[in-house]
Amino acid sequence: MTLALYVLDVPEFQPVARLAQDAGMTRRPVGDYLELSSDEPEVVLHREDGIRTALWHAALTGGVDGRIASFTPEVLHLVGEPDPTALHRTAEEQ
Amino acid sequence: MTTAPPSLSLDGVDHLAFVTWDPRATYEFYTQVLGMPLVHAITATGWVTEDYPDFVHFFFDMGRGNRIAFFYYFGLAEEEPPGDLMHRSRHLAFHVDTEEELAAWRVRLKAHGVRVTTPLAHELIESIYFDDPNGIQLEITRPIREMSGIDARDAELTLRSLIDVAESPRPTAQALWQRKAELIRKNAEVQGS
Repeated sequence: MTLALYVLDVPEFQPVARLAQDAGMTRRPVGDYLELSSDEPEVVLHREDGIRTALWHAALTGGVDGRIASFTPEVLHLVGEPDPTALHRTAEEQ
Repeated sequence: MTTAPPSLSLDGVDHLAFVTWDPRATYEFYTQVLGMPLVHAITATGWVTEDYPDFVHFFFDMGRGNRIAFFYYFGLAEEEPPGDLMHRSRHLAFHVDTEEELAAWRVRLKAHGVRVTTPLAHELIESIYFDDPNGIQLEITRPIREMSGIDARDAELTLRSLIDVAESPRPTAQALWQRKAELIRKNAEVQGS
């Protein structure tokens, strides 16, 4: 089970990659992106003062492998897949 | 003998057209506040369709040869303004090069009594927002950095993800981001193989 987010490797998104690393995620380049991954079942990113509002709310624009438990103006809580809610979500989609 | 078809590309904006019910305020705002010369106006009876009203169509120069145009229709009842989301979404953004110019425009707008936002930094641009007298949202924006190839490649993946997800029963931002992660990994596998 892997939880990962992809951050476009451009200057304005570097703070998001740093936050993910601070939250214990492992960073490696994948094409145009930085992949931030974790083997933990969940990761919580806390917004810092330096991250402007528009950027924070676009933090996942590169893509996410996992599920958003919550995404508030201060906190981004991601959980890995598969989990019970993932099964639930699949059932809902059918 | 056959000849290759010429490659086609459009060359920027000739004009954008809107409707006004207040020609005085529109004329004063675009010429005096935004400093755009009035460059053309035509007046005609309504010939386009049977019920087309008589009209004036007038054009201001936005710079770089691009024009903004307005129709004034005689006898046309004024439309209800759009809701807040559509008002914000359907807007026109003018370009300036520098942070100093953006700040100077904000001062100028305020000096003319225009309500204008504080500068808002997005990802690649920083903008101020205000309304014209017709309730059209306008923006002046300056680049924080220039767009490059990496931005276009990322946009292609985002739109591929959006199109996939938008055609599903319940599109969500999360589903788009999950689909995009899949595409990024697939691309990486193809390039790594």
